[in-house]
Amino acid sequence: MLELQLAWRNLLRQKRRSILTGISIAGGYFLITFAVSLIEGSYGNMIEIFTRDRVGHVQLHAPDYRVQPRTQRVIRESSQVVSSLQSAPNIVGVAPRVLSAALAYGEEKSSPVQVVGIDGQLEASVTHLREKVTEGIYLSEAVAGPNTPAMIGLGISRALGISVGDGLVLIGQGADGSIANDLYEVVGVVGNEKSSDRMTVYLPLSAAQAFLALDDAVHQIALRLDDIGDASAAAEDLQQQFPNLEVSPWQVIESTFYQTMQADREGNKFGLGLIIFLVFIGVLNTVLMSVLERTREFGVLRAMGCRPGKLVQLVALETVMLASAAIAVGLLAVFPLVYWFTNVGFELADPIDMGGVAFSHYRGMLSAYVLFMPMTLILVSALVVSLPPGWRAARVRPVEAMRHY
Amino acid sequence: MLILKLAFRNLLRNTRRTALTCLLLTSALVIMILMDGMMVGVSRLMVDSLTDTLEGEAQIYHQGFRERFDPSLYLDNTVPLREVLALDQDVRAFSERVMTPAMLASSYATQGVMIYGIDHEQEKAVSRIREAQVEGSPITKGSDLLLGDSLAEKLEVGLGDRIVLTTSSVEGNELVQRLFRVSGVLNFGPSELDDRLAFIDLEAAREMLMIGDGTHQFVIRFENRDRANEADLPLYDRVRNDQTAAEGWLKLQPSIGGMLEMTGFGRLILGLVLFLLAALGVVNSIFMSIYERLYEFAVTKAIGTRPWWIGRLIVLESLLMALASVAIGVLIAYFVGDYLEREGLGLGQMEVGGVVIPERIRPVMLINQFLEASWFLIGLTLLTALYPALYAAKITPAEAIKRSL
Repeated sequence: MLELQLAWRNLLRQKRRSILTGISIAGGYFLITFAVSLIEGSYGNMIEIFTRDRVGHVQLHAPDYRVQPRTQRVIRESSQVVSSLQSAPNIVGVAPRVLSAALAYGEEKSSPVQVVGIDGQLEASVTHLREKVTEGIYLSEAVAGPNTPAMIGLGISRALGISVGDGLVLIGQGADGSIANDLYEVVGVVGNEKSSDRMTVYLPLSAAQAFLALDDAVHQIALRLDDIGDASAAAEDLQQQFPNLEVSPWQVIESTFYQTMQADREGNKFGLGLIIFLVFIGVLNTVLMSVLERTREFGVLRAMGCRPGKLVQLVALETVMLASAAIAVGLLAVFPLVYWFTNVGFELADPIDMGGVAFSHYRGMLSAYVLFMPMTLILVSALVVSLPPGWRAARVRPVEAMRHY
Repeated sequence: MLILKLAFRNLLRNTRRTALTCLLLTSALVIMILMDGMMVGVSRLMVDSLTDTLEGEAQIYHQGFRERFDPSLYLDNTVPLREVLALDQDVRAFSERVMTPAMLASSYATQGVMIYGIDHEQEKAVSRIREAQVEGSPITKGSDLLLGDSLAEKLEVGLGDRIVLTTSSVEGNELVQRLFRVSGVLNFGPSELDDRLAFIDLEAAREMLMIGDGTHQFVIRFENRDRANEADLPLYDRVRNDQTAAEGWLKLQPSIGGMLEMTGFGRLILGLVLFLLAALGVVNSIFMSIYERLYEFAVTKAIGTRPWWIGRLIVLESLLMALASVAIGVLIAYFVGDYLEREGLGLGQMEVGGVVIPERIRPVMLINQFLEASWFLIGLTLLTALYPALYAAKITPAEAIKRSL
């Protein structure tokens, strides 16, 4: 206890110096925490957005389909695959999809479109498609009528001049090489002009399978896991379970984005390292100076029989105490900011395209990692910085030191 | 000159402290200069690759065309525009393009794409289509088609293979189909280009769309690129009307503009943070040196030195430290910057805003970066020295001269 008291008194004796050093430590903590929070949060938010928009956490395809998407490269007996996936404990959503390009005709105009066959109920367990409906109703809510229902992206609605209640003709090519064509009724319009699916027609899974002559086969199964952090591990496990299929986590599906994110993180780490380095030098400077200034005092302590080890301990204790107090202040200052960014954040006027994924929101992340990682980092560096001056203090020769003013 | 000598001696008296403070200032300066170089490097790279690849420095197009790339919004009165462009002093080169969404079908697969009708001769001076060609020859015949390498992979086609292009004509709204042969494969880099662009002959595209002499965009390169973003460029005024829009690249690519703005903002924040840390270090170190000399100051004051003389001495000392740091920092920054300009800094490949940023980023070092950062550092050091200088000037001899343990 005596050491604690001593260290505390020493800090208070030179309030100005303690406060100034404290400010640089608190400032360093504030900056690092805020930056880490923004980096983690913005990317976390982006990943959440695109996995919820269409990608899901893990996808299954027939081999080579991702590179060369032939209509014939399908996952056969898909209902069995889907039900076995649904029984897995860590999978919370399974969405089978059929994909193809086709030409869409409205009353007068035509346009090339992407056709996606979905099971409305299952799709909603993986993506937010249901929430994206802006006009009309969601696909699986359509009552059975004479025409097969379809949902279209806003881009198609504008390009073809059609909307809810209008007819839509699709012409494409079936898996067997036949010309596919059919009439559908638009029951809903999804998304906005910037959505990735603005030129997509959503059909009921069975209708799309019939359109492309696919029977029970699908092209893609998207999965949502209970924890996105497990995506890579889960994909590996599933690959064992389904050796005939290609299982890829989102990091592979959106590899360009993932690469960009990793590279950007490298750059950010570098920047954070530099800030820590500067805080480091600042703290070293003050601690060293405060020790040099107190040479006489340490000499007296030594003369009275204080052991060198105790002096090292004392200097280290002072520094760590100061750093802790400064971090507490920094925490108080940064917490509201991080909290606000986590819960509100702000949106960019013009989203930035990063490897095909829109970066649209600045968001923070509030987690133990964000708050404690910088804390540990700074405490440890403060401790390390205090050792050489402490050692210097411990080695003073009392006779010489006491001559020192 | 006495004061200069005194300041020097004072600094040299505690070389360790002076060295540490200078190290802090030097690091801040070096980091600032190099970071700035990096940011300029990345911004230039982005703007260059954006304007050089395909988009040009400015475009003339039908009002509203760029919102949805609706092919029915084309410029039909093109003859006067061509004359204006050909005669304008600022314009170095221009090219005309026709654009339409279409479906490409090979024997194996079908893909929705964006078709560009281009004039090969004109494009040479405007875009990098020629440089992006990795296989085959440029477009010379009406049946030639160039496409991105990943699109070619998806369609499973190579040089000389047949490909059917289906789209709807603008006038008459008829479905038009035409057979093309793959005459070349392109690699621009960004996946969004290589994935979904195909190029055909300008006249062939006009014929398919039945738009006569119409054009969707004039893409312009200027003699001096900086002029492109002048809102009141005479060229823009001459061609703008109810139907025709003309804009520089900054307006055409708001997300790049937003990003450049953000980079500028980031630079400011970084500068403030760095110098805040440096300033705290300087204040701390000056105070330390004042405390150490309290007795001395008290004595000099007691024998008649004026307060402002002491203040001046303190400011001069910090100025000397700043100058020394700038001298060393500029040298270090120059050599490190020079090395990085040659070798680049490896972070990993990124794709941002539709631009591929290569694995190794090279900074662009400008004389301004050195000057601005140096002035900033010197000014800031002087400013932060004022507070301790004031403190030193106001020392009361009677109190300071009392010595304690």
